[in-house]
Amino acid sequence: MSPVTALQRALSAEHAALHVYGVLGARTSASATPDLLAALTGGYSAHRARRDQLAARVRDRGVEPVAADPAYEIPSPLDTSAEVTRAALAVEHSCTATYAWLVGQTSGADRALAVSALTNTAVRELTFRGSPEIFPGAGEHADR
Amino acid sequence: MTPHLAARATRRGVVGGLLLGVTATGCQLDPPREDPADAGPATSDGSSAGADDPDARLVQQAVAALGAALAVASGVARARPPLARAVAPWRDLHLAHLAALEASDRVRPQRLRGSPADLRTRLRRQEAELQRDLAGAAVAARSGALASLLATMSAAVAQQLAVADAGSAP
Repeated sequence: MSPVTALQRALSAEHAALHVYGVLGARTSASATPDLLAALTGGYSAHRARRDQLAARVRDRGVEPVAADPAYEIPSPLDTSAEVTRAALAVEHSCTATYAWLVGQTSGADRALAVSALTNTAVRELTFRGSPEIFPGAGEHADR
Repeated sequence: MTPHLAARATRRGVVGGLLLGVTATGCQLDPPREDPADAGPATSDGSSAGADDPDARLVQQAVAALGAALAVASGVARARPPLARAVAPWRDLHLAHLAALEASDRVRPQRLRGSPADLRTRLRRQEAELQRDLAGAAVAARSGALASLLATMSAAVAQQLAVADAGSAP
């Protein structure tokens, strides 16, 4: 797979993450769960920045970045803060796996971006009650 | 192959392949240095194992860095037994990572002194250095699979550092 195709896949993942984060934010009460809303807002901002970085790298190669899909599958139910937290954790888990994969598909500055993004998403998992892992993003339990 | 599956497939193949490449030239990857303060040769025979293979050299450097971190974590536990339980996650992490790199985990605990706060600071400094080293090695690796493995190790250390910064561990 070419690096630009890999970057496009990661960009698609970021589009999906942003969409889900938007929904999660809309389902979260600023007064009842301000910490959760702050965490979601922080996550949304971080993913938006990564999306823009990835799109810029794709564009630098003279390729049009993939656009967001019209809709994405939204986890459900999202009636409680615990369910929203679980959904956010799932988003971060997925992004962590995507960036671990992207590291292996790229080199140089693109890979440095992927390594940084992997670290950020892995740490952000902890914000949503994730636990430290031995190999974040690499299916740590698949092989032990 | 999905990104998920690709990431999971990295561990077993890559290091084994690198080790094969190194042993085929008559060299072996060394276990972590027993005393991180010793700037000893990279191999038991004093030669530079895998000198022709940049990725094998990266693996050696990662093993040395992990060994140094393990020595400090073990040293903290030895110096302040009440901290042993708190440093256990660090030790478990480094042991698992050394195993993934098919390296020995025989490391002599570093001799450390100081207050619990001093030892925590020492441990965090060592771990932060390890995290940067692993990330740098991931970027430098020629093999994509090795890069993924090293990057996930770096991310794991970053997670533990975040837990430590949150105040629930050293």
